[in-house]
Amino acid sequence: MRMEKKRILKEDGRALYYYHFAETATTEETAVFEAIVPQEAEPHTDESEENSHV
Amino acid sequence: MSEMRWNPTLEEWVVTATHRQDRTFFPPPDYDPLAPTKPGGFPTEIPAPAYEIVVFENKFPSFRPVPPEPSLSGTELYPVRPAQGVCEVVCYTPQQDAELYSLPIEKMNALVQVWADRYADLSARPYVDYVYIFENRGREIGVTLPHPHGQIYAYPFVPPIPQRELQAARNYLERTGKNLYQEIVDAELQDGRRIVCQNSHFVAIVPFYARYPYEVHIIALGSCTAITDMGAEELEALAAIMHRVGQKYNNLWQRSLPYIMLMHQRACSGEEAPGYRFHVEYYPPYRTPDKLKYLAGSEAGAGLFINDTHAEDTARILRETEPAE
Repeated sequence: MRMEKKRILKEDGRALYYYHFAETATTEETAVFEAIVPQEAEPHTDESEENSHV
Repeated sequence: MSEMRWNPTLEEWVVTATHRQDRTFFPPPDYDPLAPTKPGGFPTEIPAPAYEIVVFENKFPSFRPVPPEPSLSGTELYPVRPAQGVCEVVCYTPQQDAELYSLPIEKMNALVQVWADRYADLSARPYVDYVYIFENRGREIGVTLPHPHGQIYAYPFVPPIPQRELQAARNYLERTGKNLYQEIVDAELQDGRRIVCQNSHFVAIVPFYARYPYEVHIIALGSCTAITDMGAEELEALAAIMHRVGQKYNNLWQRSLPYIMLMHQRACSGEEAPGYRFHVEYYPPYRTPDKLKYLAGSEAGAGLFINDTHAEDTARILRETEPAE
């Protein structure tokens, strides 16, 4: 199945990923997914994470 | 507050996560933190009013991408490190009371694709050495949120059990020149007594060395050592056999069967995993409809499991159990 993903950051900075499958989604699920504004920055490219590597 | 403390007597890490003492514990049904946030309702972990599958970083994680400093300084005897990694929650469905194996197979297909995507994302992070996909199911296992979900831990080291498996596979290859898991698959397909079900890409068995009476392992027939090695057909076959095993479990005693489900894969170091094979393991704690198998003295203190059953008998029971729809 074709899969789409959108990443957002929650208010406390935690990453959250919405996964969407157009072939099986309801009309509501599709509309909700399409309305999500993604935040594309990946946490593992963040400098603070690199510096934290043990 | 979480940190890694070294146990020199077993040469392994222990993670302390004191903030987890206060994590959500069986909230009332109308306060399900894994449900979508409905207009006018209380805010859950998922801001959207609907979702299909969602994954988010755990609010009470044992590992964080940017971990806090440890609560104390380590010593040469007792090293301490920040617990850097990732802990994710995978919400299978927005329905709090859904039974995964009663949902259409397309849900399982979707879930397998999500797992593969998370494995690819997490295994690429420089501070991650092992990605562990698992599910705790049922109050008997210690689940504190009944909403259908699993978890993913991205560890900064290879944890003990996968480490032993990977080493055992290397040792077997060095000693015999053969792939240990291929040998197991060949032996089980020839014997037949411990097979639960199979399809074109996977076989589900109660292993010869099962620790739990109804333990099941799903082993890849192909040479994949991680879920990201699989093509579309293999992923669908994995979804199908996991769905079938889950349905058999649910029909065994006509109720949703508690279990731990986990995936064992290669480490993320980029090194080959010689002689290894991707597989899924299930540990249901019940040995009869109303008796639990407890991890007591021999298991917990000596690491030696005592199984009250023979794999051949429980495999036959599961094989003959029709999948519950």
